Amino acid sequence: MTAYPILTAATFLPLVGAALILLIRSDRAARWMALTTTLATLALSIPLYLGFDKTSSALQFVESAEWIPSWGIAYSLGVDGISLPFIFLAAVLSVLCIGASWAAVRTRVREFYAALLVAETAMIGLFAASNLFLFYMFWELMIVPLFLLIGVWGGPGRIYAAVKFLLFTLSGSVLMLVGMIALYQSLGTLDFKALADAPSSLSPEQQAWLFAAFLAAFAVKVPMFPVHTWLPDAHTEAPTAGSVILAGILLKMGAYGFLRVSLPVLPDGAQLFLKPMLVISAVAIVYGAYVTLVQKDVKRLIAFSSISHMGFVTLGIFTLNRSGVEGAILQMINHGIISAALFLCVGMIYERTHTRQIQDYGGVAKVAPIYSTLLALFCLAAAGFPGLNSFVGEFLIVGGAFQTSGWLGAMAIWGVVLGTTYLVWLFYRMVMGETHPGLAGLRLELNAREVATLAPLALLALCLGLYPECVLSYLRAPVAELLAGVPR
Amino acid sequence: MGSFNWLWLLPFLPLAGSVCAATMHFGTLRARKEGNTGTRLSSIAGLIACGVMAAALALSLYAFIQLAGNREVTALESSSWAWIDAGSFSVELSMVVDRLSSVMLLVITGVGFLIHIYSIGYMKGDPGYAKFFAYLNLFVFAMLMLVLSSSLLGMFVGWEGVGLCSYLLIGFWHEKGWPAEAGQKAFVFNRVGDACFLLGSFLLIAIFDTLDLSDIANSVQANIGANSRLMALAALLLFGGACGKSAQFPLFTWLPDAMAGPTPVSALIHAATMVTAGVYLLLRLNPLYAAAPTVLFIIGCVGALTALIGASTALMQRDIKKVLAYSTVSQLGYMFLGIATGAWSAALFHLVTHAFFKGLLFLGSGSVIHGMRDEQDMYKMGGLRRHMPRTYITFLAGAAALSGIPLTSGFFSKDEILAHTFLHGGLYWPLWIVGIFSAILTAFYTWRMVALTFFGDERFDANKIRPHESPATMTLPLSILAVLALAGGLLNLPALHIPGEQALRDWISPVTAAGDAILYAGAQAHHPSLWLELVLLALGSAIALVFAHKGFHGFKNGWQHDDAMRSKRPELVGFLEHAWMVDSTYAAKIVAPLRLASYVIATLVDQMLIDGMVNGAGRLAMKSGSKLRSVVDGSVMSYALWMGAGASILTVVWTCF
Repeated sequence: MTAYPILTAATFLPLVGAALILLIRSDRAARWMALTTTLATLALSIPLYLGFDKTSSALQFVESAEWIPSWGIAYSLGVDGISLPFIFLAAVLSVLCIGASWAAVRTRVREFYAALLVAETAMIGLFAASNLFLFYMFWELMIVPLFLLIGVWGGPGRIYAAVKFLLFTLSGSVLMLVGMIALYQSLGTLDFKALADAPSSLSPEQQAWLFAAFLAAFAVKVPMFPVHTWLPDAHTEAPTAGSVILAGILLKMGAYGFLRVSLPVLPDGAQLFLKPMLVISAVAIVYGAYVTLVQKDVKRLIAFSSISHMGFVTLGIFTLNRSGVEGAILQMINHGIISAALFLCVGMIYERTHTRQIQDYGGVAKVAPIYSTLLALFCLAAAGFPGLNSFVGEFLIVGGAFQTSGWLGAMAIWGVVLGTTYLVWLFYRMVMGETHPGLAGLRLELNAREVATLAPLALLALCLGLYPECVLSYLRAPVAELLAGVPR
Repeated sequence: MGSFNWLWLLPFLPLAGSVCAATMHFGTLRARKEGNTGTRLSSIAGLIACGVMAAALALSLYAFIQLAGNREVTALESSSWAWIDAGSFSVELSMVVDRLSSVMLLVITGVGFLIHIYSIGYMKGDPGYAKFFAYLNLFVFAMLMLVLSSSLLGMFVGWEGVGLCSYLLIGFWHEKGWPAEAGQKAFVFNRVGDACFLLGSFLLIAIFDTLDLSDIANSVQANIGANSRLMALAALLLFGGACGKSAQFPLFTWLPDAMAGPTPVSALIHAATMVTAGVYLLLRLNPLYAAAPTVLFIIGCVGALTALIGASTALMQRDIKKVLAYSTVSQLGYMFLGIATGAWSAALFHLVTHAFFKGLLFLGSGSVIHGMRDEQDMYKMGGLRRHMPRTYITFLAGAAALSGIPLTSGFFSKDEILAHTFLHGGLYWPLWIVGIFSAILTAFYTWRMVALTFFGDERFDANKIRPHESPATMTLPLSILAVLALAGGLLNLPALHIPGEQALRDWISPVTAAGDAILYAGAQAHHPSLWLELVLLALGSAIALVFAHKGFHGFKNGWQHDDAMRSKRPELVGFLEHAWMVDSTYAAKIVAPLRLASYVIATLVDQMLIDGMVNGAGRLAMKSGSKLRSVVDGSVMSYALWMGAGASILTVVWTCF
């Protein structure tokens, strides 16, 4: 379709950038190099959205080359309406990560940006991969830079958090590897499309086992209750950019896996797991919200709120109706925007105060009105305020849940109420009231670079809230095809 | 249909005004940092906000004239905008003005405009002057979205928006601490109500497959029988949402706390407009409620109970704004009682007159507070009629209307609700008695307030506080509202079998026709006979006059009466002062268990159980690892051995399965 292999270019340009950064000597140049690379990647991906045919559910911008012919594995990339928004999100968040780390990262600067760029390659590659082998490669590649980001540039408890993250995700992905091999053994292909077209040759029992194997990998990444406990530690200890990538993209990889692998390839297996998945999701929403209520550390609070919010996503996916699934995908994007923004906000103020304890804050509004306004906007978005992005996603998910069972919908709405409570309370304790004496003399207001880092996310939150069609229109065709293949 | 695109201007002009004012606010902040005062920018923000309101008022009048000029046209509608479209959900938004919303429009923009003018005087010199107008305009935007949206979901946008603005404005002086807390409370209470609203909406989607308000209203009739129970449940849930927004029992306790906001906010949001949104919602969906008599009765009970709680609590308050706040709670209860009896127009009538007289009373109290240098305690006032004559006269007009002194607006509107309750009979009898009793209390506390504030000795230090009349920007809106509060009854005079129609009832009859059709199912609506109506009017007049007199004379020389009560019945007084202990019940029965549950889940379940298992598994692995270390000794031979063993085990497993 295009003159150059656009997906390959977008995927590997960051890797090239990473290699160049390691060759450069100066930290300053490394920063600019990283910024240029991420911006170039974002620019490279633009033709994808412009040239995309929304009416088709087929893969587009397909690239394919022989890779391991003896196993029939090809290097094949392609995007459909489900994966495309994620590529955009990954490209945008990568730019913002550079912006957020500009002044915050002072040690091993070049290595830091190299790791960030490798992570970008893994993120874009994962969503562009059109066969399971490549998907798995990028899935595992993602772990490496994240492990380093947490373990090297993290907070005081970084080693524990990094190891916990590594062990959780690795034990999940080992089972995915087993599942992948088993799939290849019985079907002789790893191409997503081919796998989805030939599911009938797997017995429901085989599908159930395979579903369980993939579930182990995906559930850890989402993370679903009760395999979520790595997340608060990883988030709390990670540097801001690490948290942004974790919350913005990494958590979405698991849910994306359900959409790409579990549902289309193993529909009968999914059928068997449907009810438990729905219940676990609803539990995660309420459970996560309760735990969030009592957190004393801002970053931990947002991390736990992610568990609750990702519960909405899995709830929507497993309603297996159009509004639920489309809402879930939209909500993945929304959560990527909002949680990234919240972590950026927390990171920016942490750079000045060096404390994450909520009790050390108070009355920030008086000294930092711009910061407070932006934080208010993102808190509102996270609380599902209509007119901002999350509302539409949650509305569609809850609507889908109601079509499945009224109780699920009611639990989700209870989660929304609790969500408002912890966000309003957080805002009250941090921003309203008398300015905390410990903040005296600190210049808390944002500088131009930081405003520029947050502004795109604020615009996106507003834009998706008022005109969700700009994502929903991509989803219509592929979701319809996805659901056509899954019995209900 | 679909050609009235200028209707979009109605909400979006105030939004534009809000954005302008917010820009000015950040401009003043910058100017102040550079050492300037930034007052000029601020005052421009105020002027823009008022100008925008004037424009909105003009548009509302234009819409009203369009409707009034051609009785064939029942609604003006703008073209629609596809907001959400996914799966079975498609939400299209358009702006609609029909007979009902045109009345709301005039109240919101009319009273809103006056309050904007008033705020110019009231907020003068406040460092957040421009911010205040930005919030106020934003509120008007949300309120107009609420009233004009064609879809329940669009209404929800406004519904949440007014909640947010209420939060921001209650906490406007959040540096003081307690306003921020009050704002937070209001937000969370409203969100509990909103959850009910959403649940009800999803139920409506399940029944009607749409959220378009007029489609829902028109298809209720067809669903009676098959979906009656579901519809009743949806109606009840939506009423739950209305309870949150309109401060009905048990969700009313945020409203008195909301008085922490600047007084114009109390007048606009917490008396005239936002808190009546619940009433508007029920009126809008009147066929749904007409089809669910049980739900109507529940609404009646809640309304009557709230009227009683509010009125009795207002009796013992010292803070002038708290009296008015509880009074508002009580008067909103009357509106819901009106809806419960199917007297749609009576509820709307009371909504309108209440907007006049309570808006007036709040602004009057604001003028008093302004003149008294932020003193709100009535025990420390007294004799103010000499110092603030204009405020005094207009306040009297508002008090007369609130207490139902004959021929004022509140007299007619409250009387109509009570008359309908009386006529309904049966189970509504006790509700009527509660309503009458609350009316007695209302007359009493209103004139107690007037006496304590404006009569008797000056109980403040005249050397420190020199009460003064407020500027014209404040007294002019007071005068206009005073005229409306006195003469507002003309909108809907009782039928009385004499020529002259009930204007308001006839005006909104196209909107309520569907509800009436279900309610009376062919039979004639109850109409009081002439003598009954006269008796009820006479009863209302007698109550108002007698108890207004009692309240006034008991307190015109100070608050000794309260002290006597306190020493005689301390428990009762404590019970009343704390609004029937509802808040402390919340603290004990809801907040405390919620906190406990959160702590238990967070520490016991999450940290100790789940994460404990994770760390335990880790430790187990470490231990077994150190045991295994002897195996991993680095010799190639032993590796080969283990590999062989492993491979054979795998082969055995493979072949067996």
